[in-house]
Amino acid sequence: MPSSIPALPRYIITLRRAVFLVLVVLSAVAALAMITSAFLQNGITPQEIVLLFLYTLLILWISTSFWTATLGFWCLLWGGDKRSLSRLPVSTRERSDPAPKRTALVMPIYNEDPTRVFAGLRAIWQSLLETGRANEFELFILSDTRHPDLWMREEVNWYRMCRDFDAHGRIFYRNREKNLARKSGNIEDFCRRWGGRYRYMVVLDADSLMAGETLAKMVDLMEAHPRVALIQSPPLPANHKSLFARILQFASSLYGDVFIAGINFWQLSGGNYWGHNAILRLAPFTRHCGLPKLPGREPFGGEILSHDFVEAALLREAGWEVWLAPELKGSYEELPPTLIDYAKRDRRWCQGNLQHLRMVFAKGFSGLSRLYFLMGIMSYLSSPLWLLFLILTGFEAYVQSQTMPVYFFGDNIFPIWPESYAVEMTTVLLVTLAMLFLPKLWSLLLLLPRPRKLKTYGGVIRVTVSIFLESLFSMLTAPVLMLYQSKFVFSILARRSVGWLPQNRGDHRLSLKDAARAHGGQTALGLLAGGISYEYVPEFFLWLTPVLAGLVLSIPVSMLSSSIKLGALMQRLGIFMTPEEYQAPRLMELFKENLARLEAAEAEVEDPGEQRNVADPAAYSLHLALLPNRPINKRQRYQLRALTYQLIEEGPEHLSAADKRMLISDPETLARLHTLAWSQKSWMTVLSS
Amino acid sequence: MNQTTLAEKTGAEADIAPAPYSALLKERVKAYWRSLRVSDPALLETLSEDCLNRAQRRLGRRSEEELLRHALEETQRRFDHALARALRLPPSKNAHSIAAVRAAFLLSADQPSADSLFQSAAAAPDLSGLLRKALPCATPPEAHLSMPPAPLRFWLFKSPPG
Repeated sequence: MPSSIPALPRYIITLRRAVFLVLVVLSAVAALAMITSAFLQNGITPQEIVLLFLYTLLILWISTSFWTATLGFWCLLWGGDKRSLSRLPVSTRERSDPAPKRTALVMPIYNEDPTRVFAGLRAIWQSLLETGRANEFELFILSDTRHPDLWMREEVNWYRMCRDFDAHGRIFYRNREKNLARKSGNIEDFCRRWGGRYRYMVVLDADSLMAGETLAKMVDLMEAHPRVALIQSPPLPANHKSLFARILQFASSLYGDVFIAGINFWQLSGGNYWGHNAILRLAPFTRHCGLPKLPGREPFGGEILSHDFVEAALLREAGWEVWLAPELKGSYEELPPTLIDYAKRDRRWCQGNLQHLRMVFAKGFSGLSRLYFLMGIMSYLSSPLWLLFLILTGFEAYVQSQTMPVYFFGDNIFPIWPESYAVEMTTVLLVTLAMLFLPKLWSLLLLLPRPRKLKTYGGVIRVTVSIFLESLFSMLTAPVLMLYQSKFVFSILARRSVGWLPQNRGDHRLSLKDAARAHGGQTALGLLAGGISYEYVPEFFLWLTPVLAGLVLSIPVSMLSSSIKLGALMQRLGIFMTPEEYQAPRLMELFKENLARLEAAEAEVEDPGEQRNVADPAAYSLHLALLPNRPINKRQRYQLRALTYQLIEEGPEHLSAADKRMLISDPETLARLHTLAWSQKSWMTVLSS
Repeated sequence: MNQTTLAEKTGAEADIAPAPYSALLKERVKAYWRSLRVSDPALLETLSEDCLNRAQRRLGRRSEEELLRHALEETQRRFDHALARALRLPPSKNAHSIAAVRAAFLLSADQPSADSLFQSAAAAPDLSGLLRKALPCATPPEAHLSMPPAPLRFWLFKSPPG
């Protein structure tokens, strides 16, 4: 339990959360009252009760998001939140942290492209050097990479980075022999082995970029507030060129501020952790955040996938403060470059979030922690709920269309006209749409009185056009994502696990084949639903048009949005501009320079693959030097020999990545392979021809 | 020239004048020395011949591939000895340490020539200092912290053991 005084008085936190909750609940109740009164007019049916239940959940979800953005807008309108961490006075320190005042920057990587990873790491290190405070930091590349070629390339890149910055003994690299518990296990291994060397740890993702100034500022904030165990910086998506990524980058950049400020408004010292671009105090983290393996098999049991929310909850429950710091700029990440890659990432996150269902029932957790877990679950569960809501609404519309109105009851000589609830229903729809689209308007309104910032988004006209096009794009992709996420939820509920696949982070154009394979079913479903609704409930067909359009057009939308050329064209036209594109920050410039240089060097290599690495005396020597000196048993020795013979006789393409990894993990076999690479007949053939 | 012609050629030459190894084999060993940053032509010639002769003496008449393999191993041994001498390390020091020195030398940004390792002893002290500074240091000394699993308990769901 931390001993210092909290950064903020308790009543402020309670008051703000109460305001937020009251606003969310009141607006949800108002919308519900309208829809209920409409239903009650002609007597409520069982399917209408189900519809009401679904609507309650969905409107609460939309309302939460809307009021978060609106409160954020309110804060930013008055020049930012005066209660944010960076504006609070330095806390009085009762007990100083005994750990050395040193910060570890840790980057867990798993089968990532080393060129991209090291271009980013170099930029971060260069940026740190420019602050003059690099001596307070050490960098750890925590590799869980299994792919043999990538493993050896990581090592060479690491060494070259140490060499180029004269940072031997400051930049470290470790490849785990067994990657237990994925990313959280990787970080845990670091904490157990080297945690005692550091007071703080900044966790980076493979695509993270953080400015040196931001890192130094995060350390200063931690020093100033000893009760704070974690500060999350809000990472902005950047760097991608595809139309899809540029649209999302624009949306995050423009709308992100209001949401971040709003989240901070009601979370304050009870914030959350997003898994990367955050600084953690190592002592409480190691004391409270060891993650147990959950009983049962995946997807609900086993290792905790989305460890970040759980770690933040454990820190909060132990009395430590967790903050989001909206003022921290210079923190970036990358987005998946295509709609399909985005959906693939969602699949993993979906499993991690649904696994949190168990955490909602954790003993001793506060209501706030349970709320965060529920919000995480709801971000995926809302899709099947929307789907169900649409299906039931269609069914209800069909039933209504088949019902013959009865005008005369009993002895009554005057007709009784059935009451129309079109006004109420339209109002409910408009309120819902307003809640979805107003945050975009808030962002634009905040931008208008700031001409310099407005210019970085392309000016009034371009930013307005960009918002309109982005909204259109969101409308078209929302049904596609709804179907994807619904499918993920159902497959996870059917106990199908996602595995651990590396992400596709590079820009790439989708082929028609890929797009058709990914969206063919959705297109067919769109056509089928359109046909049925047009035939049986034509009035409902019109209401359904936006959803149907998204599904029917999913193949061309997905393909076109993956286009880098279209992304570049829009950039030339000044559409979807972000401040980072208008004028690249120093960190981005460094990153781009590094990436271009490393890619050029990589392109010069004629024979890519692990054979090249094993044959290269430099890469081979480095790999050998870094291998742990472990004795191997007789069985393993025979296995290695068998694999070596297989390699010689059948070629490397007949060996799996795991086999190759095994071969290059044994020093003796590695030395033999190196010599073989230079002495085998194929080399002589190449030489003689 | 392809592999078959190489074999034919080496066989034919053996009938006329029993050459201990083919020129191609020597070229290969030279290429390996060059990859270890030996650049002086005379030194390349001598070192390659030495390695091949030594491998030949140890093996007798065997296949060219095997001869090449042994010559390459001899090259590695010689190079490692030269590096160990430059750093005043015992030549028998474990393979990892020598590999680290070799990596530092081969990945050095200054691209020093390995010729000096075999030619003059005067260049060695400079190189020694350079290499010692550039030795790969993958991880710092460990400073352990314990990280016990959080005692999570659940309602409705099974809790982790312990």
